[in-house]
Amino acid sequence: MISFKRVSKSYGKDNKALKDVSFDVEAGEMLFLTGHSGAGKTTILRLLMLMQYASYGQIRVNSMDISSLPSSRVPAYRKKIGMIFQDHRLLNNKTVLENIALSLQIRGYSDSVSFKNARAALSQVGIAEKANFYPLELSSGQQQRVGIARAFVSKPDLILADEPTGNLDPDLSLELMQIFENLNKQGITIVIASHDLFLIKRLQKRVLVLEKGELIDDFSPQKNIYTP
Amino acid sequence: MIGSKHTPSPTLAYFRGHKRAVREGFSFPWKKPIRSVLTIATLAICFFIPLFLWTVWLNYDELKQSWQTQGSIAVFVKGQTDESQINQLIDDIKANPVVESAHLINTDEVKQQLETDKQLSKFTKLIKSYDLPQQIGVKTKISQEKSDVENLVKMLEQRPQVEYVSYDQQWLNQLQGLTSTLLRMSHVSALLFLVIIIVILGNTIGNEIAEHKQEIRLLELIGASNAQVRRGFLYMGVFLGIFAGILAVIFLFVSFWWLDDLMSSLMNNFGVDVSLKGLNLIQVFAVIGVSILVTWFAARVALTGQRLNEIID
Repeated sequence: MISFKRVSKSYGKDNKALKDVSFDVEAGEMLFLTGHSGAGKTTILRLLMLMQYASYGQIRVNSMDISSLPSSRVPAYRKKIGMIFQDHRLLNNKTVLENIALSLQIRGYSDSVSFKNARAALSQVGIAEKANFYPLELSSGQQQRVGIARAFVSKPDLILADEPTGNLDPDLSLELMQIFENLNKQGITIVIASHDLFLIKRLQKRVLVLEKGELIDDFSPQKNIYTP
Repeated sequence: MIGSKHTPSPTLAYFRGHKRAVREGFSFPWKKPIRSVLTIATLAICFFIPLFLWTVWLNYDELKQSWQTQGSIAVFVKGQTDESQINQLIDDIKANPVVESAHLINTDEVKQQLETDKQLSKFTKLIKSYDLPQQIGVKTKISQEKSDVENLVKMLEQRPQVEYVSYDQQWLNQLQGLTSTLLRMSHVSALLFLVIIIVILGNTIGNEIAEHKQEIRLLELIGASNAQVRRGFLYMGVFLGIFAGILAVIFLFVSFWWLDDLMSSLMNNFGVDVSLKGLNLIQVFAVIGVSILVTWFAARVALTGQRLNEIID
């Protein structure tokens, strides 16, 4: 599904965000990227979302080399991915339902299909009753659920989540992780960047550990979980 | 329902995208009504000035055409010329291929014409008796070359029976110069105001983009293409164009209504009884259509300058 081959990303001459990183992710896998701030977790997600291009190396997603994907093909590529942001990135002038439906409308679905599926997605994340609320009327945890619903409503092959539980308490974080696990059981590949080791331990999934832009460990669920 | 097997066809997705963009683009101006009204008014003034000059040119051009087709040549015959000589002269004039018709205007008719003229009638009343020459009115054919008509005038001037030939060439030349200047002015002002429209819309769309930066960034991240993001702003330009076009036409009719008396009295001084004519329905729709095209084009130019794809980082 995802293949990083000796990928580096630098900003200027001395600032290297990723150094020679290589790893593979199977389709249907769920894994965590962890490490301290500035370790390179978000850079990997940004490279996968084509918000940035790698300085060196090759990145393949679904056998397609995205390292040099022309900008005209980027929207079609992004349509196959669901992205979840730490700051939710919801549109405050649209209702919860409209925020979720937007993802389907962009893909050309009719309004009726978009809203019907948006409602179903909202039920799946447990806040169906908030459909007509505006994001600013919701708690941070509820906003993140909307963000998750928006990411999976279009049934993407891959979901990338950047610190999805960053501002949430442990109980809420666990609830959100259960949503991710359910999505993963539906066959969606999920990559989560998180520094919440409590959660990572609880979920017993594969963990890639980054430090100063280098991949220093790759723990599979069968092995003992990484303990710093 | 959702999934790769049920993805809408590109054509369907394209039309749905446009439908939404129309809805969205037309909703932008309503969110900030005062700003939108000011933008529309400014655009309308930009459309109005070249439109006004063009319509005035249309009026004068039509007037000029009618004068030209009248082709009025007045041939004044010497006093001692007898009737048979005059008839011979008329026959000779009629034989000329340039001439449509020629007929004798007798002194009573000339007197009547003088008395109906507002200014000349004042003088004729003061003069107890006056001798009027015999006059032959000559009408040239429509779409005759100017040089052919001039040759006819020269030929008539050389005839021994002719006292004087009156041909309003100088006046026509002046009128032609005036209408050409008006047309040129409308072209120059149209070009100038096109640049102003692009600047105004560039500013308006730039503000909208700045205000929707978060939305644009998100749309791009969830897979919207540049074209999809741009559409809403393009339709906003079209929306502004529709209302600016309508307002420009209203400005035009109001200004014509206001200037009509002034223009009529001015033209009456030249012995012409005309009033300013506005636009017909087809021309009104054409003006609105052109304003839509102009604002769409201006919005497109403005959006190209905004480089939306650079917003993402």
